[in-house]
Amino acid sequence: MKPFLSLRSTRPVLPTLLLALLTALAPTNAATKKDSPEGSGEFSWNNSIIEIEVTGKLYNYLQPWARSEHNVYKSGVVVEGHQIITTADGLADQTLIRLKKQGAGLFSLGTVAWIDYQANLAAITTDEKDFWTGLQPAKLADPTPISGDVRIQRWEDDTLDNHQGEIERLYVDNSALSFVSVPALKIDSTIPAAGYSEAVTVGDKLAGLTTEGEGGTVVATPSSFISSILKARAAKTYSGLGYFDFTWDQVENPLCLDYLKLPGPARGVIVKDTGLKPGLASVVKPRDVILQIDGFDIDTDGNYNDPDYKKLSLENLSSRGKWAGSDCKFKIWRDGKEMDITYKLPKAEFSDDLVPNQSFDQNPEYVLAGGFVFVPLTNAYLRSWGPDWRQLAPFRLFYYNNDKVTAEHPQRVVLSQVLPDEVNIGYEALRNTVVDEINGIKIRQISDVITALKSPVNGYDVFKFMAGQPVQQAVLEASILDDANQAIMARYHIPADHVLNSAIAQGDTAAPTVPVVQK
Amino acid sequence: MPSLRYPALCFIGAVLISLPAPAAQPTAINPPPSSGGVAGGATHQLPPSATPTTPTTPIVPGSSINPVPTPSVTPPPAQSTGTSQALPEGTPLPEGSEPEKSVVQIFNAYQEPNWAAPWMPDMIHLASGTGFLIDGNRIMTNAHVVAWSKQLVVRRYHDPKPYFAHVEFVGQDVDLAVLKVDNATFYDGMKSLSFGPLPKVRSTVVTYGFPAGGKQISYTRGVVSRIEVEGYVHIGNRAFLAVQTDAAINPGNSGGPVIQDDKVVGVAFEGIAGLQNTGYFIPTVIIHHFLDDIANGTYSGVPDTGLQLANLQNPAFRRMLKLPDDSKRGVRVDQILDIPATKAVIQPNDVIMQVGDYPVDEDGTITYDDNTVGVTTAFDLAQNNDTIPLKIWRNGQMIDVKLPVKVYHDDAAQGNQYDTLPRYYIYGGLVFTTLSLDYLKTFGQNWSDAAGHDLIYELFYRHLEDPAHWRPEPVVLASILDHPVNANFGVRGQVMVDKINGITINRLTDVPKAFAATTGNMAVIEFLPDHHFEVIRKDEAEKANPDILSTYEVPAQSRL
Repeated sequence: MKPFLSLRSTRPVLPTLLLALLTALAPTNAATKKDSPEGSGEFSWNNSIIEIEVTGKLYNYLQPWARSEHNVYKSGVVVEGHQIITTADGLADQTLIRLKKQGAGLFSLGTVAWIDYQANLAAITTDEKDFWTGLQPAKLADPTPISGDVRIQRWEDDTLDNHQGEIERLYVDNSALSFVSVPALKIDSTIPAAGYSEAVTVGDKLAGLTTEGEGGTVVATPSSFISSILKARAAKTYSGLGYFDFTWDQVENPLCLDYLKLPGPARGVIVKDTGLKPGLASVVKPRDVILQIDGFDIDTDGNYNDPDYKKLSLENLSSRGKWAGSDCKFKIWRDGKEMDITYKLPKAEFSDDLVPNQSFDQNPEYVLAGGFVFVPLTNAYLRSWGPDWRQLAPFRLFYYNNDKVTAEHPQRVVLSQVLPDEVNIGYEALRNTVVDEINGIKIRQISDVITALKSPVNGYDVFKFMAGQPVQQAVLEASILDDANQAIMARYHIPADHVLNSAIAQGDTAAPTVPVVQK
Repeated sequence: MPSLRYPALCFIGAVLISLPAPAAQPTAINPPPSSGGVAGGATHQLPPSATPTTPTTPIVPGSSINPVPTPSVTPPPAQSTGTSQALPEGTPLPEGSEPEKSVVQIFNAYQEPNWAAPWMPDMIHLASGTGFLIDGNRIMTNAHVVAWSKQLVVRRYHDPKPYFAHVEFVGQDVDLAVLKVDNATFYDGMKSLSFGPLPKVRSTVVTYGFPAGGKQISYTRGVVSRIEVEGYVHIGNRAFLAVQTDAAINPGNSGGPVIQDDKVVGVAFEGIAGLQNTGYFIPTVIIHHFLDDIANGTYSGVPDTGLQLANLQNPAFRRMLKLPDDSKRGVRVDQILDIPATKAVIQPNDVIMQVGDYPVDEDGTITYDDNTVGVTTAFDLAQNNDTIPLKIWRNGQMIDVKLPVKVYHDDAAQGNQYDTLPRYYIYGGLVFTTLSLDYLKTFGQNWSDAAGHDLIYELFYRHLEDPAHWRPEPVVLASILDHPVNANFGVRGQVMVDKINGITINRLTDVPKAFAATTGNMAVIEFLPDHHFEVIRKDEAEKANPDILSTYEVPAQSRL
């Protein structure tokens, strides 16, 4: 389970007495001192690990006008350049960031220097110059160790909490907030409630930042990955994470390779679907056998031998010092011949998915019309059905979760509910119904609802829903819609009749973009 | 989570039995798998076709995305009376009669097929239900009481002797069956029960039956709580008129008569697990439909129009359709399934004002025998190949149309199937079968989660949303019978087949044809949705076929 920090309000706080006992039993300070370079006496994690308190907006996607707030407590590590490196998880839709150093003193106000939700990394800074006094930038282990003991550290009630851990392995997995594949460090540790960017340290080096922790296992973003992004950002060569926009099969059945006439021993993987990046023609074709990427041989399990980390999934080669737009050299087997091709890594964007997995730093969109509440179908909307949303959300909406954006459908728009009113009598039970067209205009994205409502048909607004929905048509009287909206907004305490992402509201026909705060 | 409806059949247990020695101990109320509680623990919001609950408004009560249970032209038949050999036909039970003497206990030794291993029958089970004598020396009961029967035994009231019986007619859609007893002495002294009308809401009824498998007949009294169109869970994807009562209807009551004024006003058939005092019985309007249907010697079923109706209560919609302001009539045609005969006479946004003799209100109800019920009740009175007169409002005018109706079979795979053994084809240990609800249920109690959304979409949604890519009979690789010839396959079953040797598989009979079309020695099987493919050598597969069939005790390579 990957924790979405935004879904948790606070980290559990240990009872004072228990904490005091733990503090007494675990020689926290001693451990910290032990981490300091022998004889230097200079570096201490006390001076590098920062406690971060984030206040953020919490949305109810079933009532998208409703707001509440939540707090997240997490950690960050000071690095060169007056930056506090932390995970991006929990920083979305933030309204206030406060920083506390060395477990004492007053909080300082922080701001996001940059944030990369795909990589699940961010840098926090502060304008309060005194804040940096006495702090020490940490160095990142590169390469990241793939075995041995580590410490997992965070501030807990103004004490640097320090837990033992042992690295199990480095592997490749989906990023905590995205579909892109990134390296991950798996650590055995009994630290409770981890995954909030706790610092994973080896001596005086940072080995990673935790992204999840459950049942004795902690997962962290390895330092080498963080380091490569920091260097690329410093060199202004970072263009965001790329990915391989094709799927592939491990080769279990050697007859499949025989059928494709690949001579010699079984090797490589077989491409299945291609062109997953909307609007991009893939140079890789179905049934290509991928033999090599950037000089690394690919085995039938889809792994290559990494010089630093041994056997890793080929997906790691999309982010191993390469970013969106970088070229990868592929050796493939196609149509009975070996070929060399250049694969340009497409940029990973949440908006590539028809049902965006994440919608960061923007208010939920909706349009209200005569009590009909229209919303774009998003993963956040589906998650409104709770932890078991995959089972409980309406099947037909959930099924769209697999689809990619197309020119015809950059979004799916859903009539999420009907706020009962005289004007919509008879439609009260309509909900979670996918909209096809309004007044004869195809609804490709949420902004089309507003456009279509400007062109009623003979005085009526005619709503058509997708085939297979429980009801395919509804009609409202256009002339009274504005008055009805005002009455409904007053009755149900709704501040505005619509909220749209600005790019879409301006009639942009491109796929909706997720604004990323890049400061 | 919706309550789980269950047929009120008493499941005696998974035992190897030698009838007649019916076990009588009370057992769990779980229905036998064959009785099909479609929602069986499913947590997904199932497609409407698979959900045995009444669709939500504003759909007209009883209508579903599947062909709506169709209308009826004629008013409900007059009461019929039952007779027996001992009494002249038409003789009603006298005052002070004892209906229990006409009630029998039915024991069914049944054996379902295994839809994942279609050549192999499942365990033998024994279940008991109830029946009662009606006109023509017939025992009426529920279809689910006699489903997949290998042997039927009935026992009379206060008579220890078991009598062998057989099914004469069965209506799986309406969950009714009539049996005949082979030994003529069975009928000696028995009186048939006669049928009464639709009981009034709040009136008292008494159920007769053998709940929990007890040897002694049980009587429970209750009132008619409501009369509505409800899902019939035995078939799973049909809804007809049903009567809810607070008289206890428990497993074992299935098929028993519900009596009012010495007349049968219904057949007990299902309840809702977890809800007390909520039982359902099949009203006589459905029973008469069944009996009229079999009068010609075959059972056809209740025809469907393919109409999806929606209420028409919104004044703006009514004005747009130019309905008079003072009218409160009419239900709107929202969608029409691909049934040519219906599409020829009905259009979307037609307003159905009257079905047969029944005016239709704007909320999609009619007044039937002084009860407000869903309009589908009127359609459901029609028999197969009938023509239903409708008054329709179209383009601001009232017109009369005649709607021909037939029984709709195209959605059979979306419901529970009976009578026909599952079909399959085996090649090199690869077991191919058709995608169906029965097959998906083999994935376990949470089958809708376990099956994955692609198979569910293919079965329940594709034909509605994407008819261009709809396959009349989607085929799945159900499982693989392990053998060296298939040992390296990356898939092991539970996946939909797209093509074999480049030939699109639209139905099971395409599979052997496609394998026969193998050029060279490699047969290529492609799967959906992600275009994974596997290869098997033709010579090795064909050589292995007999070995595999022998090893796994498969009696035949195919049942097509």
